[in-house]
This record gives sequence, structure tokens and C-alpha cells, in this order.
Amino acid sequence: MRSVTSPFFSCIGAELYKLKSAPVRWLILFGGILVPVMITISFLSSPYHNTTLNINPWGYYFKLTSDIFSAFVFVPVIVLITSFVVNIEHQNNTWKGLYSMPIKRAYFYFSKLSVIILLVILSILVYFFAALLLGYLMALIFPEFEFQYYFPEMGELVPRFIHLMIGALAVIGLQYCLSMYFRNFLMPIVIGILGFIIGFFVYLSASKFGLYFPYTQTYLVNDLDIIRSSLDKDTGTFLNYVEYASLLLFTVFVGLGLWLERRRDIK
Amino acid sequence: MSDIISINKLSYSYQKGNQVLNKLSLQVPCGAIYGFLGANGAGKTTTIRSMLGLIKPKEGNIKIFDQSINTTNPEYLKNIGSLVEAPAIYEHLSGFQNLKLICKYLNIPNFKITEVLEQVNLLKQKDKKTKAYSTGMKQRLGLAIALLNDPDLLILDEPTSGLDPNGIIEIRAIIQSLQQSGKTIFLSSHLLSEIEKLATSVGIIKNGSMIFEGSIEALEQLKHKNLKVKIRVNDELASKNILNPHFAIKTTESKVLEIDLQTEDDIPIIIEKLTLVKIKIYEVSLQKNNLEELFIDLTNTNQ
Repeated sequence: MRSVTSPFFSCIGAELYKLKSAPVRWLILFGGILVPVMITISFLSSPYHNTTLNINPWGYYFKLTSDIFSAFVFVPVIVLITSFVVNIEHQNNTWKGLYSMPIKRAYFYFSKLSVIILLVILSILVYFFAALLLGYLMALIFPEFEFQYYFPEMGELVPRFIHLMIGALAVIGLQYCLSMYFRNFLMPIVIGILGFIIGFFVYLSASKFGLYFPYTQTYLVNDLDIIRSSLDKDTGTFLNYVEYASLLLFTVFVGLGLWLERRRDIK
Repeated sequence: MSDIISINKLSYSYQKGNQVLNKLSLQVPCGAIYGFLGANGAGKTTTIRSMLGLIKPKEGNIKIFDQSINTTNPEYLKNIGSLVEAPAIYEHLSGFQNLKLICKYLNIPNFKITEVLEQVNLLKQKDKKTKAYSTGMKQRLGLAIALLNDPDLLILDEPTSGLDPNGIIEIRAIIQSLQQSGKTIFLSSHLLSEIEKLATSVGIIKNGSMIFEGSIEALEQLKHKNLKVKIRVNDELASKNILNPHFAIKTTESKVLEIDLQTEDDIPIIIEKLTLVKIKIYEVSLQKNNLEELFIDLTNTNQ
């Protein structure tokens, strides 16, 4: 007897299965552990510089690693994850196989997008657990760091990650749209990396344009004190202005991508 | 027998002025192996892509299982298995994993995988990564994917393309057994021998238009209408003078006449006419016009 699962969840199951033994897992692992490993090496190479007795070291440690992670690693990881997931179809020329199935194109489209979002969340989790693990490892090597006496402030960390994720949605939407549109692996990556570099300079220039430029939003979203405060308006809600802009852009890019995909002829 | 596929005046162009399908109409009877024959670029794959909703035709109507197809609602594909050109398979997965993936998409129970692998004789290689598969194995896996939901209609686009003779024989045997199990098969090919061996109905497409459609028997009759005989004689000119009023004659080599016949009964008449005027006949050979020659004839005369 056939099990009855909604086509959307069937598609998500299939998309996840498709990633079996695909290189994207190494990308997530590498992207997640890179910054914690670098910061750990830096802490251990000059331990006395980074020792603050009787103060919870996790706060400073996580602020440092998550700032570097969200500024320099997160966007490239998103660009690569999106391209990898979509490129599986381009590379194997499997669009015709997918669209010959009795499933609406929208299901394929949204299931792929959902898997990309799941993988991006997974990269944040890998970063978090790698940072946590390395923090405790440092405590074993150099107990004066005092990681063993405190716990990370989850009440601070969880909202920080949620803000980061929402701020990244516009980049995810744009990269997804580009990856679906360009039938090759490199073009969306090149555009994404260029966007990332431009985004960094837009951030440094403190231009208001940065609020609406997807590649700058991940910088701004966690920058609560420096540049964004001069640009941002207080929304009085959990989400800040950058996140609302990111959600709006995400909706626009995803809608545009779906419109293009439904019209596309598979030649 | 009712028609399982009915296409009416289908037109499609990739770019302006490049008409790939031009008011193409065809009917596929239920339970048939329909051979869809045409040269490369004739519009076979475009027709198949239109049937599967992969492209949207500019004009015309396609009915499958008596329902007009709707590209925004692909429910009609539930009962169709397809293989379009090279099979759509994920090369980083094994054959088994590729089939399991389709099972996940379509909520098909996993035990069907073994069934179809057995059907296409790929059970032993099921755990091998498909990037290590030969072209023939990939085609068989593509066929297994098409069979997974046990469809009533199979649409196969050049399934023997790129295969070695053994591979062709294997695929042919599978297709025949599928038809015997009650499935309708729409089979496109530019290999005339393939269609001749498998098909029960034939459609011949040229420049996006149908130039012949009918049963294989109707095609056979056309074949006999195009009989030719080659006769080697000692006096080419005299022979031509005697036969010319009655037959169309071509000279392909010195002292060899190629004569178009209406029926095989024309052969003794020609021999009689020639021997009556003492022309020596050294060789008479009947040139049975095979499908290939007929195909070339059909495509040339309809230009």
C-alpha cells in the first residue's frame, strides 16, 4: 500500500536523500568549524591576552566568533550551499526527469528552497557546536580561560542566531533565484562573491543603501551599536528594520524565481 | 481500439522563424507500440517534450487518456513513464538510490525497486554508482525509472541510442515484453530497423509535420508499391528503347538497368520483352525496397 504523504514533504524527503554523499556536507562542516578553529588557535597562541578572571568568557568568545562568522563566512557559505543544491539538477540534466513527474513545479521549487534554508540553519548549528566544543577543549588545555566554570548565555545566543538567519533570507532568495536561472554552477557563485565584496564596502560606507542590499544585511543585522543604529528605525518589535527589509526582498526574489521557473521550457 | 494519445495541429517554435513543429497531428492506438520515426531535428523530441509538459506548445491540442493536457497541473503524468533522450539520473548515487529517490517523490513502496531492476536486468549492478555505468546500463536504469509507477503508457525517446548491438537487443526484448503485458509504448527513433522490428503502428515526421501515419501493414503495402528490379544486359540502349514506354528506368552502372515495378508480375513481362528482341540477360535481381529506402523516398517526395 502506498503511504500518503503530502507532495511537498515527499519532495523534501527526496531532496535530502539526493544530498547523500554530495560534497555539500563537507562545505557545511568546513564553514561551521573554520572560525571557531581560528579563534581557538588565536586564544591558545596568546592565552594570557584572552584571560579575564571571574567574568563569563563565553560571552566575549561567542561575540567574537559569531561576528567573524556572520561577516566573513556566512554569506560565502550561503552562496555555495545554494549553488550546490541547485547544481545537482543542472549537472545531471535531471530537470526533465523531475518535471515529467506528476508533481507541480512549485513543490519542487519550494522543497529545494526549504532544504537550502535547512542547510543554512545546519551551518549555524555546526558553527555553534564547534565553538562550544572548542571552548571546552580550551578549558582542558588552559584552565585559566575559565570556560569550565560558566555556561554560554543561550538567552543571548539564540536571538542572535535567529536575527542572523532572518537577515540572511534576502541573500538566500536572491542566490536561489540566480542559481535556478543560470544553468551553470559558476555564474551564481561569481555574482554571489562579487555581491559579498560589494556588500562589505557598502557596510563600511554606512550608506543607507545597505539596508536594502541583500549582501550587506548579514553585516547589519548583528551590528546593533555601530553603523546600523545610525541608519535603522526602531520598529518596536522583535525584528529590526533590516530584517523586515530582508523578509520583503526574500519574498520578491522567491516569487520572481517561481514565476520564471513555471514559465521555463525544458529544452 | 481507442486512441491513448491524440495530438491535433501542434505547433512549436524555439525562436521566431524556427518552426520545429508545424501543425503536427497523430493518433496512438491503445496497446500499440507506436514507432515515431524521423531524421535528427525533425521534431520528435519536441513532440515528446510537449506531451510531457516540459515545453508549452504555441498552438494545438494534446489529449492523453482522453484528457487535454494541462502543464500547470501535471496530474495526467501519473500513468505515464518516460525516458527522454539520455536518462535523467544522479551520477553520485547508485542505481538503487536513484530508484529510491523516485519512490520518495512519488510515494511508491520500496519493494517496487527490486521488481523493476529485475525487469531491466540490472539487479546485480544496483549498488554501483551510476557514474560507473555503461551507456546501456544507464538506458536500462532510465527504463526502470520509467516503469517504477507501473504506467499504462510509456514514452521512450530514442531508447537504443548509443547502445552496442547487445544493448539494443536487450532493450528491444524489454519493450516487446512490456507491450505483451498490456502497456502502450510510444517509441521515437531515427533507426528505421528499430521501428520495423518493434512497432505495430508508425508515424513518420519531417520538418515538424506528419508525412505518413498508419499501421505497419499499411507501411508494408507502400513498401511493395516501391519495388525495383536490377537487370544486367548486353545492350543497354536497345533495352531502354523497348522498355521505356512501359516502365521508369534508371541506369546506375554500365549495362545495368534499374526499373521501377508496380508488382512482382512485371518481372516476367520485362524478361519476355527483352528476350523477344534477342537481348542477352546476365543477371536479374529484385531490389526489395526496405523501410529505409521508403523513408528516404517519403521524406524526399514531401519536400
